[in-house]
Amino acid sequence: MTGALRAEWTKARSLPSTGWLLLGLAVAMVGIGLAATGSLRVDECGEGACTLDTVKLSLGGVRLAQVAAAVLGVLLVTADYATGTIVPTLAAVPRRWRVVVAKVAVVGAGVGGAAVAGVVGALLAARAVLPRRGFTAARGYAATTVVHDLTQRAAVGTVLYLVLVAVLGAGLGLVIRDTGVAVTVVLALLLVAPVLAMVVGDPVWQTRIHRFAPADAGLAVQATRGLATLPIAPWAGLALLAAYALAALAAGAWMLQARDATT
Amino acid sequence: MSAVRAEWTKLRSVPRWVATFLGALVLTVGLSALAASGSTTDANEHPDFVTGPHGDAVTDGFGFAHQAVTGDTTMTVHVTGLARAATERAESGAPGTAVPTTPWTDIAAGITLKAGTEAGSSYVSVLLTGSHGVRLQGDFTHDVAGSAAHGDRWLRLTRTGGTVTGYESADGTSWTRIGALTPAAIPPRAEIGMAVSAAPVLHVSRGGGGSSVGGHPGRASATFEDVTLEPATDGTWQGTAVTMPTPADQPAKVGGSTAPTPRVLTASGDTSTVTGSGKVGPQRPDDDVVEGALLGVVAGLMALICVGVLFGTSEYRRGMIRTTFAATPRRGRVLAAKALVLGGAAFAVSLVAVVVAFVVAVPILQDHGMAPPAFPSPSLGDPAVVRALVLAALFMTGVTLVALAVGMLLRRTAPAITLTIVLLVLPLVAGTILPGTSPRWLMYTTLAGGLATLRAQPPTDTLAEPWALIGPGAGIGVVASYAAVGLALAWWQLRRRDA
Amino acid sequence: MQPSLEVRDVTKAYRGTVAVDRLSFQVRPGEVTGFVGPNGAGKSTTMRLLLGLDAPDGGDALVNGERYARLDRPLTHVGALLDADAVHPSRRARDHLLWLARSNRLPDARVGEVLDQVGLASVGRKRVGGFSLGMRQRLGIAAALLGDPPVVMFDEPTNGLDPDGIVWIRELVRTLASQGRVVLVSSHLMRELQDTADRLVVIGRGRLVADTTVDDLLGTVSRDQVEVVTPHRSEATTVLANAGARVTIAGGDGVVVEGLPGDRVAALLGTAGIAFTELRRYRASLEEAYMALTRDAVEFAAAEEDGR
Repeated sequence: MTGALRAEWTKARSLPSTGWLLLGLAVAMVGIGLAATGSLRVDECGEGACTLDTVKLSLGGVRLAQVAAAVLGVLLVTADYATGTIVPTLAAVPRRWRVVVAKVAVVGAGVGGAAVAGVVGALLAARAVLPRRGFTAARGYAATTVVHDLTQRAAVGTVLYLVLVAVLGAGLGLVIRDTGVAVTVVLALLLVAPVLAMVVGDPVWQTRIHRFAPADAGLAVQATRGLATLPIAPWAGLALLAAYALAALAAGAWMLQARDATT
Repeated sequence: MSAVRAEWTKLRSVPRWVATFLGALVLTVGLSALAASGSTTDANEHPDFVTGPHGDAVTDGFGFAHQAVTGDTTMTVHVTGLARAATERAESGAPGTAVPTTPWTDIAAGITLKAGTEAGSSYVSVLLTGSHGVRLQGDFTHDVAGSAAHGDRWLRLTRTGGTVTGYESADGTSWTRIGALTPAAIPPRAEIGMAVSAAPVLHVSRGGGGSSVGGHPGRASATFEDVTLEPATDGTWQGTAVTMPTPADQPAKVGGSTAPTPRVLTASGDTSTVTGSGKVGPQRPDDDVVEGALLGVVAGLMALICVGVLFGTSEYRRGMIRTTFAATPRRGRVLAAKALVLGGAAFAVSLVAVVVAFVVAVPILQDHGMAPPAFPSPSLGDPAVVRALVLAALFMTGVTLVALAVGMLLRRTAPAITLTIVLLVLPLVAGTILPGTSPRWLMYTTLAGGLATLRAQPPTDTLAEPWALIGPGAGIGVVASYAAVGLALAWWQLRRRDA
Repeated sequence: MQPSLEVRDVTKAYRGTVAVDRLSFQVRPGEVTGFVGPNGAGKSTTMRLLLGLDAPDGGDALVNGERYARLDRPLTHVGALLDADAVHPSRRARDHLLWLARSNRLPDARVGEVLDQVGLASVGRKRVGGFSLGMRQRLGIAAALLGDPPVVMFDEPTNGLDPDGIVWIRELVRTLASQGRVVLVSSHLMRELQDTADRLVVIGRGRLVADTTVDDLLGTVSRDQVEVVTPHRSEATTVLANAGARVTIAGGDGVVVEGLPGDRVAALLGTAGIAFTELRRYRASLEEAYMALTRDAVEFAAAEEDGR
């Protein structure tokens, strides 16, 4: 097993795209977070009763970062098929489930590391920017600290979210095997549902989409305000995303085991 | 020509691509139907409108100092001092961004000839507005622009038989005709008089994943001098607040405070001051039935992007591009042929997809309450519907061509698909998170703006979907620019780089 | 335990098309076994089955008596070159070998050793996308040798190699065999193997056509054939045909006589007074032998299909 792990790690590390995607993930977290917090006005919702979720907004970069995570997850699987490297991979590690476990571990470690950097960077940036824009404790905005329970949950949850998205990508990659189709499917899953929720008129359906679409459900964990009105509880949402990711992975692992290496 | 035929053969001979085109069709229609069945509205059960003379949804509320006249008549006034009520200005620190006014939602003062004081009845008005100049309006639909004057104006309304003509003047002596309207149903004996309206002031608050629209009732007053009526009557001016009926199942809501309604008419000597609240004009919901029937386009585009990128990048796998250029050495021609073939196929598939989606989804939407009178009933013959369908198909075609260009430029599938999808969809997600109307510039600069082509209604600030902020022309323009620039770059790179 | 490759009654079909049909053979150590057959005969499929990449529909494909998937650190048991293009173009040659080495807990130092062995040491840090087919072929062989395995399988290893490369690979293959390894080399061209292989496994349409030594194969095809070189070919043909032989015109001034032993041919020609400059036992080229064999296989298969 350690052999398979080290092999997949070496494979991932030796492709330039891996580094770029992980860098992009962290930069997206910090950059978009800064753009979001930097454009906020404290009087956006009038005097007093403002409930802007500054933590969620400062972690808004996750919407772009998830693209990097998902694409990385897909690529670490489908690149093997696109280039034929799957043949030496399975020849070197004939017990195929080990290949799956190793790939997931490598994707998780890489994305997890980059996500920690991105999330911490985004929160620190928000902490520096928000008070200057009037978001002070006096106006009901306690300084963003990682010690705060809810902030902690949002931060940890965002890291887990990105890891799970990458695993979902890897699972779909194993099932679909074709880079183009797999990237399209995973991005469509993650990005189209929120757009639909935005325009579908019926609040019941909106809630349904927010509750069951992988991205919306998983990102409930970012909420630090208005918790009572969330369509799905934070950890439950993340668990749902985990269920999707594991289902895709299980299907992919089963197909890897049952099918011939190529074709 | 031979290059076009070669590219066509390439496109149709890969079963997976043909299947993906069909997938785009199925996804567009299927998701449109699904989204339509997920949309409901109770706008018809709890109407915030009355039915106008043409049977459409309208709103009708204003201050009216009026008296009855019979037959042909001419009324002249001198309007000064049109302004919002002081109490209202104090409230304007409301959250969000004020929605810009239109000629229908501005404050206005002038002369109105109306079938009666009942809301929704036929009328013609000549009005001085706060910032849209002088207008001649009638029956909640007709709007003729006069001069751009503001602040102080002489106005005249003349009824001759079935026709009502509006005039304006700066000094009361030299008059300019604005236009003439033929109202639908003003009986010989009708009410004429001084009218002041002030539509509710809307503030839209966007961001954090949705939009909310808040409003408070508007109130304005204006001073009328030198009021003359020919032929003269022996009647007197009587102040009436024309108001919308209060729904039976809802208590009357008064915005913010329960201030007593001020008197409509205050006369002192030759000067009358009229105060009014409410909007006179169409009350069309911003929600667009056509757009609602075409939401599947977003999903269909995913499949089209996939084909577009692969049609480009597949040339660079296994060195097929060398064979292609050996067969057609003029590289610009190869790219033109690729774009033509892919664009043609994408347009054909998209047009079929949006027409079928429209035909399937509109009845579903109407079943779910998006039906007349609150909503217009679109049909395939309406110019606005035809425009939306054709532009939507062109939008899908444009995105497919952008995908091809990105594929040819990047030469690799994963980054090309990712970039195109991100350019298309991420601004939409970002657009709901960013506050204010700042998503507007995102719509003007990214492929997401193309979704504006799905709308048959005019742009609006009040909806959650950020593409409603811009018009269909701007939307298709953005996509066309992307396609043109992308293909030009691809062409330039093809000539410059080695295969 | 002695290294071995063994295929036992293996059948494999892809979407209804039979690629390998009840194939059985065994490859022994210490000699080079050529694996020949026309394109599409099932050579690559057989190798994929041996490597556990594809699962046989029936029968067993065994390496050292085990199914491949049950091997621990399989690269130390079998090294295989299947497809030289099966490398990510963005990856450096060294890194490609490095991940393979790590997957089987081989020391990283092996990477440098095999790069040296195949002559790629100078380009190890270059990305594979810029390699020629010949260089990728060498990289694939380096990967096969990484675990110093007692069994090696090369699928069409001379593809894309220049003449120097072809000579190099022949020597490599012979060396590997002389070290007592099991060596299986496939080709669709018999002449590629003529000077290299000791034994031949010939397949056609997924079925075994011959499993024999090179000498035996040549002997079978050349049996009872005598080549006569004479300026009087038509007279000689008449005389020999009258005596009951089958005579075919060969190149130059030669005729090939089948059905009569050499001394009888000499006597007949002497009696008839036909001068000849040379008379020798005819030795068919391996290529001809192979063509004869695979033609039969093709005809056999066609006949069987007709019979169904």
